[in-house]
This record gives sequence, structure tokens and C-alpha cells, in this order.
Amino acid sequence: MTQTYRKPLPLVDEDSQEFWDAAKKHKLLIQRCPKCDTKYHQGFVCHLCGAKTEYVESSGKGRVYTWVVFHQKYHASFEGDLPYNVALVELEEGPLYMTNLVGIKNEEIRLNMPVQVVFEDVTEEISLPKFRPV
Amino acid sequence: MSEIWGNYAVCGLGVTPQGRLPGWSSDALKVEAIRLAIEDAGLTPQDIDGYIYQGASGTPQSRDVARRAGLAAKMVWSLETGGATAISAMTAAMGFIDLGLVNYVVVVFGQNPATGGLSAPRGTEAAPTLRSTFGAYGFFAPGSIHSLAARRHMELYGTTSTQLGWIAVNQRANANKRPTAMMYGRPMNIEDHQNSRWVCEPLHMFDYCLIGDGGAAFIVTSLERAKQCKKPPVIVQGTGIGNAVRLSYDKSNFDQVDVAPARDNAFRAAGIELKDIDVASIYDCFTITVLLTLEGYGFCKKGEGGAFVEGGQNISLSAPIPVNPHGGKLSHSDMQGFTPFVEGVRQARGEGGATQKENAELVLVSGHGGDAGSSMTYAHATAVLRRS
Repeated sequence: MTQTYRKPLPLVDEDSQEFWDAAKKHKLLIQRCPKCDTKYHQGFVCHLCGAKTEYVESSGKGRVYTWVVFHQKYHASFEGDLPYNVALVELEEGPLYMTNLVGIKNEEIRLNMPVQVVFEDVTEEISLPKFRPV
Repeated sequence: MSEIWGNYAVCGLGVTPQGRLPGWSSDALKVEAIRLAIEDAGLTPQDIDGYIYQGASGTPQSRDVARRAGLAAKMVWSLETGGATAISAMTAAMGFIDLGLVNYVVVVFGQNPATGGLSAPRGTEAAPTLRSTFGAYGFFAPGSIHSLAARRHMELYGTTSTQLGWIAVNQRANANKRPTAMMYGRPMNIEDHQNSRWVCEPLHMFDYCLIGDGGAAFIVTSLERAKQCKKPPVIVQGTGIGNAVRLSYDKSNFDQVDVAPARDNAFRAAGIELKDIDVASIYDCFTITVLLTLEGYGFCKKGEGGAFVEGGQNISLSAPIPVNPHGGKLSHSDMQGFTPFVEGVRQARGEGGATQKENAELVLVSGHGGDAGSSMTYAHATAVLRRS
């Protein structure tokens, strides 16, 4: 798979290693503040109390917060997908997650549509969380 | 109130040609803009003891520009907050002059993306976590983040693409009265806007600003010194800053740009309200940016921006507060926050040509920019400029 996958891959670093390790096991992680329980996506310090956040598993359920449809090719690897959607999903725990909606036509996407995470194993190391309507 | 407000001024303005400028490097454009600004002020390069250029890692490091332009700069600095840089750098300059560290600071912008090529689209480079994740989903470029905000506005308030189009059409009409505009002689109507291709739906191509080469520079000094210069001073009555990173925690950063703190500080410093403003030069990377900014300043209520701009009357040259009389980044030229700032200075000097607001005394300038392509956490900056 790695040889043929040409799209950009997320940069896995010390902050996000745990997130991508879990994604490989088809678990979606978010962060939570151990002191005040505020939830984040890629928020490493709680903006309210300053504590370091910790990873917890998300239900993977959410709603469509907003979305766009790309008609312009910015990266050659997406040319065959045009026009494709990119959406922000508001997870039921609160954070926004940027993703692609799958299993739906672009023109059928609606605000607040309920969605559920699914995982696409794009390389041996990376599984991308995407969302489909429920 | 601080004695800074009303006691500092822009005393020189230099603007190079705009558009496609083969053979000009971004640094050469900066040097030429600085030379023109110094000439405009009636100063010499050796008078200039402060130099701030807009730049960041990944853009040309223009430190040698100070030497090439003949400056006697004690400070040779970069400052980068995207389209909010002109106002932010001016504000920083005023503070340093007030502390007695320098006397004349030149602030400069220069770029050549039209002939020199764009850097890789945001999101495709090896980048920190959040941005590289976006690239994995095919999410690239600053327009796309603004398009997410446009979609929300449409869904929540019924705003239409045609309404956004009126912002572009109004500015194109203005640009066609200003021979320095890149789109001069190229009229556009609302059908042209609607027929332009989708880039990142719901934004059409004509919702996007121009890409062009060009440079601009301005000189900041005390009002006292500015009075000795060749042109009448443009007085800085107030400035303010904000950043939508504050709004990201409750997700309202996709519903607004962070106008409120910048506006409140600038208006309080100037002792004015919106109704006192004669003409507005609003940062316009995309039509939706203008709409959100107008709502933020209180031209209309939150959510009513679409109806406010529809038909163009409320933003045209005959409106109580004309918006972007030069045509803005959408139709005049592409110098990030220097495009609205330059027009602000021109309107305050009465140098707005065929689209000069008659008897303009107070000019509102806005800037917006910073974290293009990641999380809609943009800086916002406000300046209230006054004719002397």
C-alpha cells in the first residue's frame, strides 16, 4: 500500500503518536483536561486551567458543522477525486475534527447531519478517520 | 488616554507598480517602495533609523534591504501576522518611537508571486501536526478555510453566493475608476461572478482576491516631525488588535473574525463610533472576509451581512460609508494588509482619485491574517486614520 499511496500523510510526532497508534486500531482519540474535563482535538494544554491534557477515546459520533467541496486541484494526488468534500465534524464530546465525508454525494450533505467515524487504512502505518452518515 | 494616540503620523507613502512585474525580485520591490516613500516624505535614507519588513520563515529574508535602500536603521526587523501586519507594525513602530529608541520607522511589503511563482500550497509541506492532517484530507489553501465560514453563514443565515458576489462587483466597479488597479478596464457584473468557476465551493473564483507582484512602504514618525515633511501628515487616532484563536475554544471562529477587541480599542482611543467614519478600507482576501468584517464593525447586525451587501448600495461610493473605493485585493492589487492600508492613507490625504470620498476626515482600515490554511485563527487589526 505504501508504494502506491501518493496523498500527503499526517506528520506523526511526539504529540500525535498516540493518536495515530490508536487510529491504526480504529479508535478515535480526543484529549481531555484531567482537572476540568474540557475536551480537545489537538489541544495539548487546557485553555481554562493550564493542565496538560490526556488522550481518551471518543464515541466517534458527531454532526456536520460545516463543509466545502474542492473543485480546484491543489495537489496532484487528489485530481482523480475532484470534486471532493472536506467537512468539519463536531464530535459529541465537543471538539471539531476535519475530515472527508464518505458514503454520501456532495450535494446531499446537510448541516447538523449525524455522522459516525469509519477508518481508512491508507498505509501500513496510517489509518485516516473519516465519517459516514448514520 | 495615552498621549500616543493623535500624536503619531504616517509621513511618507511609496507604492510600486502592481500586477505582473517580470524582472523584479521581492527585495527589489521593497527597496523601490522604500525609496518612493522617502521621496514622498521629503526625507533622505539616512533619516530612517527603523526598518520593519513583513516576513517569516519560508518567505524571503529581507534583512539586506535596509542596506540596499541606504537606511541608517538601528532596528532591522521582521514582523509577520499576515494581512494584519501593516497596522500591527505601525503600532509597534509608534511604541518604539515613543520610547525614544528611533525617530522614523519605514514599514515595507514586497512580493512577486505572479512572476516569481507561489510557494507550495499550504498543507502540502511537511508541517506541524494540525496542518499536515488537513493535507491528508485534501484540505489546502487559505480560501478553503474561509469557504468553511461562508458555508456556515449560508446555512445559518440564508446568505447566498449572489450576495457575496455583490461585494466583488462593487469593488470591481470602483477599480475601474482607478487606473492603477490590476482589473482596470475589465468590468464584471453579477452574472460574471456567478458564472466564474467554483474553486472551493461555496466560493467562486471571483470571491478570491488577486495574485500580483508589487511593493509598498510607509514611514511612521511623531506628528511633530511629520509636520516638517513634504506631504500633510496622516494622523493615527487609534489602533487595536485581536486574534480569533480566542474564539476557537468555543468554535465561534468559524462564525466571525475577531473584530471586537481591535475595534473597541481603536474606536475608544480615537473617541469615535462607527457612524463617525467617512470611508472604510476593509481587508478582503475573499468576499466572505468583507462580509464577516462588516458585521464585526456593526455596519449591520450579525447574520444580516448578506442582505446588507445585496445590490451594492450600502457599500458603494454613494453609501454613507463607502467600502474599498480602490477595489481592494479583489480588484486593485495584492499586497496583503498593505492594500487596504495604502488606500486608507490615500483617502486621508485626498489622493483617492476618481473614487476619493469627498471631505473624508476619518478613515477606517482593517487587517486580517496570520494562520492561513489551518484553523481559522486569524489576527484582526484596526486603524483609525485622520486627515490633518
